[in-house]
Amino acid sequence: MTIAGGCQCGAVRYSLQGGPYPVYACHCRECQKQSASAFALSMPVPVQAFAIEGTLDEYCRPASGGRSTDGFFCPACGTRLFHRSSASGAFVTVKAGTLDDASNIQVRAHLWVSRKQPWVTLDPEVPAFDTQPEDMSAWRERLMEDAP
Amino acid sequence: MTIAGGCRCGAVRYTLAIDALPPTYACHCHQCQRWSGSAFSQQAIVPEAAIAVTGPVAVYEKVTEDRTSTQRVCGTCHARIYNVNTRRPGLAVVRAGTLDRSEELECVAHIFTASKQRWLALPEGVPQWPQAPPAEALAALLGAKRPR
Repeated sequence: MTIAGGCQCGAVRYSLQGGPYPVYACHCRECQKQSASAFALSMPVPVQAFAIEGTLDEYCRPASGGRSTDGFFCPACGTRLFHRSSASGAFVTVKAGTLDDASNIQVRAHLWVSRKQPWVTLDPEVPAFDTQPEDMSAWRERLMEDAP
Repeated sequence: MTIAGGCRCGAVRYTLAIDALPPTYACHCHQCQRWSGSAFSQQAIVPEAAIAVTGPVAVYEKVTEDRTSTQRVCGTCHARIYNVNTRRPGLAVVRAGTLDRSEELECVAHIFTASKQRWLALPEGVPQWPQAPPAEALAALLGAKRPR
């Protein structure tokens, strides 16, 4: 199975092998600013399953402990496509809204609901964290393993 | 009093010369999903003259048949700040997730819900349109909530 996605202008395209991959929503302030919307949608994918076509630009953001998170975007239209953390090089985190068809994605968890915009209603069946799991890398790996 | 906001990394800051947080609406079209990387774009409409921006702004233009949309984003982290559109001279569409008090925002309408991601439940009683709304109807909703 191949899932495809890309930027707004079409200059950058990507494809994912396997899946479907789980998606989580993060409602923290930083994700609201980065997405310029109410929350970010992140889809972790193993790097070996991820292929990109086209030229990317990169925004490198220093994180705690000398680590960094790199955001990759299309230089022609500015669309943010995926992130990669130096803490966990085994996967990339795809911005799920850039999938060609995001209509059927399944959101498996909500992070930082303490910052959630009040009008956003959550499914009580979906796990929600006030902030975020203590060990994000381990949590993400479990999330991927548990995906149907 | 002014309302303030900025990008993810803090390099771009802006103020809106308005008295209260503006009402917002969500657009669920495919283009807005891609650009936000999330489920929808969330926006507030303000007079362009009410925005004052500082910092390194990058500009992306999208030209379609009847309009040119000029997107202003942070030149460093590429968070989207606002856009103007030749069809709506004098008005700016602010990407509301970049407001400093985004956690307090209300969402008074949902548009292009025909392409809404299925996992997302919209609050009952909030006006929604499967495609574009009649311009007057959306303007009335956005105006009716101002000032709070």
